Amino acid sequence: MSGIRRAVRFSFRLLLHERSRLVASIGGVTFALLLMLLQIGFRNALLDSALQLLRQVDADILVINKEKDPFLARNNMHKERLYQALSVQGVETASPLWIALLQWKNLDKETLHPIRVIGFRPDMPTFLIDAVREDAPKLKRIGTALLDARSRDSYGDLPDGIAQINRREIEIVGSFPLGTDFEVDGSLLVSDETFFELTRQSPKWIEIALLKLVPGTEPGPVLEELARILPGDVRAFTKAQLIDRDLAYWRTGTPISVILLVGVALGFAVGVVICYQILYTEVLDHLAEFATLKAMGYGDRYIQWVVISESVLLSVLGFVPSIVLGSAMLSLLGWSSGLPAGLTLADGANVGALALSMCTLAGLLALRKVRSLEPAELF
Amino acid sequence: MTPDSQNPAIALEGLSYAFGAGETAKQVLFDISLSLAPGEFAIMTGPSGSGKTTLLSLVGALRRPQSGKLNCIGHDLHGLEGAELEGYRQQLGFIFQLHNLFPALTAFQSVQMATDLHPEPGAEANDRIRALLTRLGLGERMDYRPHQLSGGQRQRVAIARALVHRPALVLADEPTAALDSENTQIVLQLLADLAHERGTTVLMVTQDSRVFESADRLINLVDGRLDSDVRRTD
Ligand SMILES: Nc1ncnc2c1ncn2[C@@H]1O[C@H](COP(=O)(O)OP(=O)(O)OP(=O)(O)O)[C@@H](O)[C@H]1O
Ligand SMILES: [Mg+2]
Repeated sequence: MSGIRRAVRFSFRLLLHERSRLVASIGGVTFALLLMLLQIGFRNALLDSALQLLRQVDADILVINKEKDPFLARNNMHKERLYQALSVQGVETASPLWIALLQWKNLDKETLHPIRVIGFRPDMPTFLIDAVREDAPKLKRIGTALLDARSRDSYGDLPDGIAQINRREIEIVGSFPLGTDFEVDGSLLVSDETFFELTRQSPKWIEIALLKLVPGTEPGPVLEELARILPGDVRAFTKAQLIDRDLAYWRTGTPISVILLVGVALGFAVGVVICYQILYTEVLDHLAEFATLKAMGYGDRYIQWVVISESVLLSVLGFVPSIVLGSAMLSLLGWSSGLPAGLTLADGANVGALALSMCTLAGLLALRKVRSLEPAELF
Repeated sequence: MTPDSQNPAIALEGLSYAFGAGETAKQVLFDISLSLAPGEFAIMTGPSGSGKTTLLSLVGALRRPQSGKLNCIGHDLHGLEGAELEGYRQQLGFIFQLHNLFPALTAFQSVQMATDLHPEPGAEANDRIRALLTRLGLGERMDYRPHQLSGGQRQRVAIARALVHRPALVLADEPTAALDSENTQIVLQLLADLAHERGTTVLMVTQDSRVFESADRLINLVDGRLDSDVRRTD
């Protein structure tokens, strides 16, 4: 058996000996990891919810106001741009999208809640959502709408299917799955005509132009041509480009995602402190015994392996319950808020790596005490 | 085998030692010269505070020597560092006044900490641990942890830990203080056997005059000076 394996065996014996202390230690590590996991889950929810509308539009290329950043910001543009874009070789269809933030009235509680109303042409390719494609024809009747099935409960019940939005009555004729985000409690899909009715907006101004290309067309040259012919107030992106741009925006450009990152860092710091306390006490309580090991001829290297191995064991023992608890709490949150809060395998791996480095860092800090240990302290 | 016929196991010449430095320095060992041959069993006595433990800790390379010569089992202990220092310590068996057993380890596992330093194939080491613990009257208690053992039993675990790897040199600081006379005899016999059958050099500190007769040498330390050094002949 190699020296490292003996050190690992010894560290297991040390750590597993005092059960109540071990349980408290695992609890501490789990708590710190849970802090990090929840922050990461919230961050995922933020990213996913902010991007879900963009992900669901049926477009190869989008033309938007050049000021529009992120995608959910409201910057409209002249409808003329839609026809200009359509004139470019390789563009098959160009569909307009109108977006407005309106107030939905909860009829039970008489309270108002923000809702995103999205207008589109029911006979144009606009969304990738099957339910919308099926129910779009129903929207041709003015005053009808499809309601986001994942809207928050705050909208209340509609016993006879009639909703009140900006003091107007709207008949809900179907539903589709999208989800809430940090701005609204849900979305409503309406035809262009219902949209103008509801919002009193001028049809001359649209929010987004969705372009579909002739099958087999390379987007690159189309983008170049669009850049050449379109005036400087708008810009064209492929859908993938816009998704990347939005991800970057939400990841780094927003106070909330910075706060959540700080939360992860805080969880890490808390974890290091907890782990350090555990390992340091472990070493301190057995100072004479460790000194005896050195007197027997054990080197600092061996004792380092013992403490590092204790930290790795701690991180593993804390990681498992934190993943279970974290996933459970996040799905509970997702279920109650409609936010797509969840953890990916990569998040799990990241937190695992964080757990490992957290405990190892704490172990290295605790080791400073051992290094100064002289066996003569035994007397 | 006379002590002068070969290299001594312990050779001290003009050894002095002081705690602290400058004004507050307190010298506890004065110009000690002493030589022990391989296989000699020496007992060191002296009043409390005379420097016995300090001398043992110097020979055991737990303290750095300051002045005088200090050579043990082929090592010059001046400036001993790193791997060489660890290697030297591994050849010793040190029985401390305090047993310092890890609460987490069973008697068997505590002794195993010593054999772990001297890897050998198969289960030979484990057999040796069992045999030694049994000889020390702990055959039934090998899986007990320190809190389940009496003071004397703990002391015997620590003794087994110091002897199991067949050290070339045993340094023992009042190893029998916590033992009853029966176990004291067992431990003394063990040390005497090691010295006379395996050529282990034993330097043992004790105040217990009942055990003097086991030794080949009686060394008396008073106020940090060698007061007497008597070779006993049977
Ligand atoms: N770490 C230390 N710092 C300062 N002085 C010390 C230290 N350790 C021991 N001394 C002093 O050195 C002297 C010798 O101590 P030592 O422990 O070697 O005596 P001893 O002969 O083993 O005594 P005892 O029989 O009581 O164990 C004592 O006066 C003691 O106070
Ligand atoms: Mg002493």
